[in-house]
Amino acid sequence: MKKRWISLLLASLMTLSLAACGGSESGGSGSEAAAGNTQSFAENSGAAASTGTGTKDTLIVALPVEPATLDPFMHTNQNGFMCTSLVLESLLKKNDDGELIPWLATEWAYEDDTTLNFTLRDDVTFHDGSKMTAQDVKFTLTQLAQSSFHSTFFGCIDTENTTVIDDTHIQVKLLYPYAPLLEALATLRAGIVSESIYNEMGPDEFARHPVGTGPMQFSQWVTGDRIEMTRYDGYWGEPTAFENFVARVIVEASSRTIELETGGVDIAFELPSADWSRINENPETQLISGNTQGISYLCLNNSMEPIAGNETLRKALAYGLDMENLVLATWQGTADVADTFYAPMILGHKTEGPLEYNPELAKEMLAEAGYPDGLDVTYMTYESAINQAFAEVLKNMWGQIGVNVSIQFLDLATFTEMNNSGEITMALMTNTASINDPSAALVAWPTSRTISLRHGDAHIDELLQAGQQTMDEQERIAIYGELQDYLWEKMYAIPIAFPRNAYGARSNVANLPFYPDLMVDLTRVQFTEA
Amino acid sequence: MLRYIIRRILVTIPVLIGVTLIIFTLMYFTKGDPARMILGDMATEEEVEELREEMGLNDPFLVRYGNYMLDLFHGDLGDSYVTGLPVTEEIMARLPVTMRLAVYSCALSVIIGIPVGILSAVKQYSILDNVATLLALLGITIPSFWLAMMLILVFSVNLGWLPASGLYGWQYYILPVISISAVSIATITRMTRSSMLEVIRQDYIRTARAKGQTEAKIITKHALKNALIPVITVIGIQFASGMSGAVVNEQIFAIPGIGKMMVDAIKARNYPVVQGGVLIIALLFSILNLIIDLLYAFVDPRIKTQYARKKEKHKPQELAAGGEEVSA
Amino acid sequence: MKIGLRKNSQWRDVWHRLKKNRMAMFGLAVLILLVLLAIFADFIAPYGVDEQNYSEMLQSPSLRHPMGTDNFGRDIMSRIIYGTRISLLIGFISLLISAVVGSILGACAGYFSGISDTIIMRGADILMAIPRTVLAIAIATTLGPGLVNAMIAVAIGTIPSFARVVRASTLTVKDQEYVEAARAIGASNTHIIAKYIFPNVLAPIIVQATLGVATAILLAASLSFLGIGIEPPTPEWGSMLSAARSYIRDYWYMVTFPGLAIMVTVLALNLFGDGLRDALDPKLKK
Repeated sequence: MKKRWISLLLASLMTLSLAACGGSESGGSGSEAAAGNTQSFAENSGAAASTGTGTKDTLIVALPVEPATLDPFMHTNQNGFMCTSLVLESLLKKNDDGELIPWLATEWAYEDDTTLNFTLRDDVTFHDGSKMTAQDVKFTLTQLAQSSFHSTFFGCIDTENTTVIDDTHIQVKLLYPYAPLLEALATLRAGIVSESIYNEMGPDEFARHPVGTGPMQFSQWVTGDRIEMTRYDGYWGEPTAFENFVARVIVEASSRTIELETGGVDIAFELPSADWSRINENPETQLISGNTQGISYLCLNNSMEPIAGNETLRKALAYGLDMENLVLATWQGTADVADTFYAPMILGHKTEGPLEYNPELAKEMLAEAGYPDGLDVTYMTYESAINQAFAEVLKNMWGQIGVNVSIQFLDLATFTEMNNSGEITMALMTNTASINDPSAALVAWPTSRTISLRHGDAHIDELLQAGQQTMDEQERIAIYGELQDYLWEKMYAIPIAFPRNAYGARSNVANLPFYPDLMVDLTRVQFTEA
Repeated sequence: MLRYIIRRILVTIPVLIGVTLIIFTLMYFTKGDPARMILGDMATEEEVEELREEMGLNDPFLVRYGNYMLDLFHGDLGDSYVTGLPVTEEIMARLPVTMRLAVYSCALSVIIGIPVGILSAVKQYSILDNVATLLALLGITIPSFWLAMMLILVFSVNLGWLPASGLYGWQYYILPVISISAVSIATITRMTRSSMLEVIRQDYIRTARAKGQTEAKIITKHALKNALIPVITVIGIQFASGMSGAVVNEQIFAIPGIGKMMVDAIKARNYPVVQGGVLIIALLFSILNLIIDLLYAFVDPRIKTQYARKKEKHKPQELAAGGEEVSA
Repeated sequence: MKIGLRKNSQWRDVWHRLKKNRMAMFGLAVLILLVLLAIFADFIAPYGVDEQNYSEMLQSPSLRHPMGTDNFGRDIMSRIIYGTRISLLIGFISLLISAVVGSILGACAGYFSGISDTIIMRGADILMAIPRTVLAIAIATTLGPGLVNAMIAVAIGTIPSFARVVRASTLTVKDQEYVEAARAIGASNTHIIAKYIFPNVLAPIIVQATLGVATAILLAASLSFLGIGIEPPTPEWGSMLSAARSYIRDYWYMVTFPGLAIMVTVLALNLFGDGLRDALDPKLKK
């Protein structure tokens, strides 16, 4: 401990003395050491940018947010999963047609509604060379079931009675039937982790240096800057087209676009909508866009006045929104008006709306709801271009029906805390279903959730549970249809938009489809000769 | 002299303790729950509460501050809430980046600012003087973040000469360094010019001129040394403001320095990193101030004797009050 | 200003010298113009501050919209005119806060010496040991975003420099004969500070303040730029810049004009401040 202090002090003194010397060649030793191991990829990217031809062996992507942790059990961050898509592998995957295909598991079958059997590949090794066995699968499923981040989808697993039959066979028991389980197992959330490696390293170290069975192995993580990986030679399947991988953290949206255009990165995620057409039209870049499994809705706090128990008021507010223009001005043409509570590509989607824009009716209903002279509401937002834009249009539109909106601006940490303690009055929230199933799309709706929606309506819980535990698809569609009718009737929240999303890539990047759940699997990316 | 240095260092300690208290208090009253930030929206209230307890966030203020100070005296700045790494390690990974930027910016400002300032003063009211004065004025008025955006737009996007973000080689330094040093180049130019002008009008310069010395010799030998004294203060202040300017510029250029670290940490309610970062910067500032004061003595021997005199006359505490005594 | 004639003529001298400085007068003229814009924004601005027009989004500068429109179809020029109000308000009020608090503390420290001096100046040392931007960010985060909070966050960091300047001036004035005379005839401390010390340290405060307004405007703009200052739809220039960031590539005018507005204001303040300092210089000279 002492030593650390002293070394810190000495180091600061040294850097400072360099500073004092000023002009000379001083930056010296420190900078070279740090620059040394990055030089290779900088040159690499530079060369690729200038020539645009030749085979590239490093894939460089720009992340909008640095993942806090890469421990798969401790986060639900899309960017984190994007990184671990190269390191960790799931039992199943989905092909481009959305069908489940074997991956680490070769076969799987339901014995009954609560028993699921898996046969595993026997040629899979972790990056330390040890073999992947059914025990590791059991360990992973147990962790997922117990993780507060993943229990929504994996909490159904009966960890006590799940049994390892032999190295390549495992029988998974469920506490209750759960229809979306296989879908969930095919996502990047369910990457298999080695029990012995995880326990040896401990969660903290594993979080900074995940080890799995994937085609790339972790090499280093420079906090605040980048994550680097190299190819794993003992990989069981087809190796990646690139030998090295670098994920750079570039928070500024416009900087990500610029890096993509100038060839500093090969793929950039979360492009601002203003840049979509430019990336699309530039011959050196391509835009990969599509509809997401997400919905943006105006969350009303149903445990607070004046929203609570005033259905007429909620509907009046909804009629007072010119959805067409609201969505256009907020998303600049990169979203569609929402017609129900989840995206069209998800099972059982039922068109309910959108509500027509009718300010006169809205005013009448306001009067009926007890506010003939209009009312004051507070809308809360955090630092997000979309949410701020939405706030500004909302204020303008509702102002015309006599609803005076004051915008309260919070930072994300405050917003998150207030949201979970039920103090957010109303806010735009976006929920992207992480698996293609209504239960994931409606994850905001169980009454057990602590977010500020707080409708307290037990009927919604009943329908949600029925939907999850029914295995027959037609029956499920019917249940979710009923649920959407009910939600539309009650209008506890106002559905606004189905946002599209886009990532940009250099034009020589191939095999990068659009992932509607925004969890990008980078393993198949290739470079073509331009 | 040595005793003076030791006293100055000793006086820094209460200042640093004060800094920890201020930042700790600010962070204590900040809304936003670190435990909730770590666990996310899906966690239940119980899980968050459990983590809060584990992190010691439920303890009363004095207990938390006491624990923090206790660890601090053992050289432990705590662990980052986000990465779990020791704060010391995080700072050491990022401090050199920011320092390098600050040093380069400071060097650039001195290399450009002082000669231009001198020339400007010597050739007062010439075209060069007018242009330099105008540019210097622009330099102090231009918002640094705006300049950064414009530089990227011109040199990275339109011309494609320089990379727009990151820090992976010498060419990556150019834009951030220009953006950070714009203000200090301007300030140092202005300061050098005005202090040169003042010195040139002094009697002893007139005497030197009367003695028939060459203009160049007068400037370098007599005027410069005296004119540099206020300039040194400005350089010190500019170095400090360069580190401050790093906060915004590191954000725009995606540079993993200490400024970006602290903005990120404040947003994520990563208190140990915020506290550690501010503390280290404050420590650096104090050392820097000391060095500047010592440089005065080096440039101007008159000040050295002043120290000696004061040492006899005053109590040490008054002596320590820093810059203004020296310049008064 | 009880000191009467002597004082008045002194300020008249300053004004006289200032008038001769063309750059300073230019700065003053621009400042007056900006203040007028701020006061009469409602009459001058062609459009409302939050007047959205979805059929005119992201239009290039034209006769209808001399500085173009933003992503909500709002007239950028109108917003910049209204923004003058916000930016000047932040600049002047935050400066006023720090000048008043700093001057009082500095005067106390200088006048009373001893323990109060030590406490105040140590406090100033502590605040000055934290980089201003970082301090402002931390305070703004603690207080939460908003106009008033941003003013406070910007103000606190400047208090120490006022305290120091005023303390130094007070120290020199304190031992002057007329102050000692006042003390001898039994004037109270408050009376002496208000009547004798304060008018004499006014000059350095004014110089510090004019230049300080510029810094305050810049700092507030960077806070908004980082997303912890003033929230939209308030047309603060920094927050306009921040919101326009993602449009920088195709809609240059969204980023250019707010930036220019900041520059012009800061430039005017600096020109005037410099001129004022020069005009006061004979008095400030040691």
